[in-house]
Amino acid sequence: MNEIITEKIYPIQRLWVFKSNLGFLFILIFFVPYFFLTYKFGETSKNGEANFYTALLIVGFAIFRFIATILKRANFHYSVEEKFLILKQGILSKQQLHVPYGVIQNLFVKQDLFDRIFGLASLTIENASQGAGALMPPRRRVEMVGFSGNKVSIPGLSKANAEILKDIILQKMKENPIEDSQSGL
Amino acid sequence: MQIAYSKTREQFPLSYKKIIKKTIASTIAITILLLVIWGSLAFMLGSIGQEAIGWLGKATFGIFGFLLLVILLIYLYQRWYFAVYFYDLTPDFVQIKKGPITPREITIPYERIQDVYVDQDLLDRIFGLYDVHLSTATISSGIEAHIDGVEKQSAEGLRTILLETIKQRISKNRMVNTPTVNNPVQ
Repeated sequence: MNEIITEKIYPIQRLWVFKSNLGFLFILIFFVPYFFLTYKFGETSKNGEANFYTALLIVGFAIFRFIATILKRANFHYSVEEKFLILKQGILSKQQLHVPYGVIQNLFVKQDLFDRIFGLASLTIENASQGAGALMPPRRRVEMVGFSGNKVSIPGLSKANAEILKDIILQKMKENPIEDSQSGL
Repeated sequence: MQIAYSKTREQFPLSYKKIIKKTIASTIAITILLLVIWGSLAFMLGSIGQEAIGWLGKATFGIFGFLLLVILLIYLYQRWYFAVYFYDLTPDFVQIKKGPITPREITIPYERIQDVYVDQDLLDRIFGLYDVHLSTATISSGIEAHIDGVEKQSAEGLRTILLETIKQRISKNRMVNTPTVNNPVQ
């Protein structure tokens, strides 16, 4: 039990790729048939053509996003090493982050509605950092997978795995206390 | 409903008045919203003419029936929320978990707590309830990490025990400090 814990042991489930694209799936299910029907049986052909291209655009974007999610998941790695939590991400531009266990401020285990339905959970680890893109506008800090600002987000773990991983990190925090405390009390 | 008791919650219980307070707070918000809707409806129907006034009576019944239903639902939801509200001061971490449908759990090490803050809003004052906040340096912990709706005794108990634990842990860490050139130990 001395091996280093990585995403190979507690993986991000494949189901998560599906779950995080659910919004687009709904759009596809409801709107695309509508667009195609109006294209086929629409009264004015000009209107129908515009609808056809809109549908094509939506489908194209959905596929693009789906592939992007798969690549993001494939390129995200974490490993719980002895002194640092090491994270790697990035499809084209690669980023690495080392977090010492002592400075972790809080951990979240969250489930939204669809997580609940699929039995998934996301683990979020935060320190008080101002780096790693913290000053980017909030819109760009997508809270999907990986790290940005002071947040490390590992979504799509199964509920049991999320709890285990949380306990492992808590144990590491206990073993590696920071000596010079930042707390003002 | 099974209440999510922990050692801490047994010692410093949430007040049952919290359910009523939360229900009243959301009832007020929804009543204001419905009054606005009713007002604009009355104005619209009134400007149409006499026979439309008759419809207004029916609409009023409908709106207030709806209000009663919503209040009942909110009450049941708040009871559920109250039952699953979990907080525990373990030896090393503070753990708070809430949300019956979409659970959120936060774990905070004592050393990272920046301040302990107790407050009351207007309804809290009427019911004699207190909120205990214990945030770290992150924004999301400021949003999530609080224990809402405890009575005075519990609020003060929680604060005392939190401050005591933080003090002990910080000084314990200081004792562990190995002597270095910059930081000699007497």
